[in-house]
Amino acid sequence: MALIEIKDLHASVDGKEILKGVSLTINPGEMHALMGPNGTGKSTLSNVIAGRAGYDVTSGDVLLEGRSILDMEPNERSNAGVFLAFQYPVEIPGVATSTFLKAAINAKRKFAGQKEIDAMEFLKLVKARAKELNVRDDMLKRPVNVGFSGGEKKRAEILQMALLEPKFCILDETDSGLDIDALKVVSDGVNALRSPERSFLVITHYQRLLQYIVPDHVHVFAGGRIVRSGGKDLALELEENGYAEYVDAA
Amino acid sequence: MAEAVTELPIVANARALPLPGAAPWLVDLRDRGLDAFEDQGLPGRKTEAWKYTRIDALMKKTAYVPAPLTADPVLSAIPCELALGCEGHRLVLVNGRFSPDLSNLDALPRGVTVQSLATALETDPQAVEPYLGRLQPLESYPFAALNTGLMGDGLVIRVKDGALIEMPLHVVSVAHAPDGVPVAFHPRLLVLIGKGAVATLLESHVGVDGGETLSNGVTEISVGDDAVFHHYKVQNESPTATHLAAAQVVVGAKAVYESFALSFGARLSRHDIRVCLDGEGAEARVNGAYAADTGQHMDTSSFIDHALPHGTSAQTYKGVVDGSGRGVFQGRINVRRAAQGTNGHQLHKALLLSRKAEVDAKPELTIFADDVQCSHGATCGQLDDDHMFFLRARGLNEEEARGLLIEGFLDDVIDMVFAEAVKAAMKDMVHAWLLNRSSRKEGA
Repeated sequence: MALIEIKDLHASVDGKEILKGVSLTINPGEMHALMGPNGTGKSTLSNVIAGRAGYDVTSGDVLLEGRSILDMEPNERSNAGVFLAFQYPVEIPGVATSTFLKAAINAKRKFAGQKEIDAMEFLKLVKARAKELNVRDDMLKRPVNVGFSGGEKKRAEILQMALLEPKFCILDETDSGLDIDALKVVSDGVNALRSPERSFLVITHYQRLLQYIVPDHVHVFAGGRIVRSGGKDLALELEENGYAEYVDAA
Repeated sequence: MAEAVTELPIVANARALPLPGAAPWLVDLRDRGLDAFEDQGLPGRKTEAWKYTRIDALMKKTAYVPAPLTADPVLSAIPCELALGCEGHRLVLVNGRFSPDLSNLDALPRGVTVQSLATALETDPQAVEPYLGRLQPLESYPFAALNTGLMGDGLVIRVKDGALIEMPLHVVSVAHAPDGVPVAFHPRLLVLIGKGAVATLLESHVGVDGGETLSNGVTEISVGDDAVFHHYKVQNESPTATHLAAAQVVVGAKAVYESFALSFGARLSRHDIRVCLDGEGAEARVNGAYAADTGQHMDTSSFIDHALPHGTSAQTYKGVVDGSGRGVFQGRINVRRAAQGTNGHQLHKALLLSRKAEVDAKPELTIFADDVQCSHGATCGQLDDDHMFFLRARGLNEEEARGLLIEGFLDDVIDMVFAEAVKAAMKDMVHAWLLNRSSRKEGA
């Protein structure tokens, strides 16, 4: 069975239609890249899947393992296995990163009917994952994303992904604002999470990220829908020729 | 407009009562206190400093009895869970009276002396004469005048010049009205920090067994030149309590006064803090946080007076108001003509959690010097939608996400507390308040 099925999805903001019939099927273990010019609705798609308020889904559906998620609260979607890595992770003063991570892990455990993680186990788990992602211990003590560099914020997102072990991950412009070193660390983190069960939708403007995170499928997104799909070579072609022909066609 | 305040039960009942100490200057001071209260009258609608906090009706209708006239309160233990949970030399006041049995005076470090005010007034009044009532002006705060008129007990704390006191002194003031009679008391603290000394004072104001209580406290603090004094207060009284507190702090040259006041309790609370930077290069960091729910009114009114050059003051207050609760912040920075090179900043931020919650903020700057850097700001808002979505996208339900953000909002200002142990204890109290809040919501 497909892990994610997006079926002719239409969505609008303040009465203006942004998604105009998006259809996409992602099987377990697949890495999909969604590429396209800015302002065509890529982030809207990720927000609609994750359940952010302010978007009206006018028709179509999004199924996770055959079950519609559109009526679910954002936390229910998260607990069911959907993870959105944000393009602009928010800074939350006063909330220590470790406190937040523990709350997120426990929310998922509660949903799965498991008992809360104990303090020692949590510390061990977080420290191990943080080390793999080059996240320093003092970042865990600091408030969520406050004073983090662009690269640190994105690594923090991947750390959350590693700890919550979602089934389906959306990376929304994760490469924006990253230098090449940070890009490699983040990509290594994502690649380490690839598994036969876990699927990814990587949204990006540039081909650069896809040198490190190699997709199985590449889709061109323009005018609120997918206008072309292909293999990983499509990304190279886009890098060469740009999006002009798709924008014009849309 | 003066009213016949001496007819108020709180005054009339207290006047019938003998107070400790008979020194002529003390009798005169008390008389002047009551006269000043009489002159000012009960603050009401037309009193600018009290326009957001109405107390006149409560004072007129409640037949408060002075604490010493009620049965002597017997407490086998103090409610530790309501007080600040950190180590300290414990000094307990029950309804304003010093309780040696519940206090721990044995292990006081060298350089600190603690005496009950009643003892000081009876046995050695001349030792406190130069200070008592000299720091706190009577004419600008009616309840401080009332306290002065009726003061009977409290504490005199002295830290010698140059003493470094590591473990905090912890004053636990317990309000207690066991037999249903409304009780009023007027605790008085006199704190004298010697030159170059370093010390920390904690105040926990708690209630047991509910009951209508009125705590009308005055704390006079003198921080000597080059001294560093940390002053942390938690107000966690019963939901039927009224808590009035006035602190008057005089900070000497190059001395530092750091304070944090955290309030969760009482039906009505008013915390007046007045700091005078009375030496060159004096510094004051005056911060606080409060959480008010339905049935609670919390007022913080600060007055930072820059009297001499090169003083620095910084204030940050944050409040969370839920249900039909109400928060008030009045902050004034005054820079006198002589106080060139002053740096004075003030910020109040409120988080409103319901449509019925209300906050009134009144920041004021009065500046008479020309070389100053001053700022004030006040914000009032709701939880941030982007923050909420981020947390919910990580699996937290709405209530959990709100709880974490509210806690973070308050913890953010508690992080300014210098003493790590106090900071941790205050965060624990915020956490406990939130757990109570969510169980109240579930119960509702």
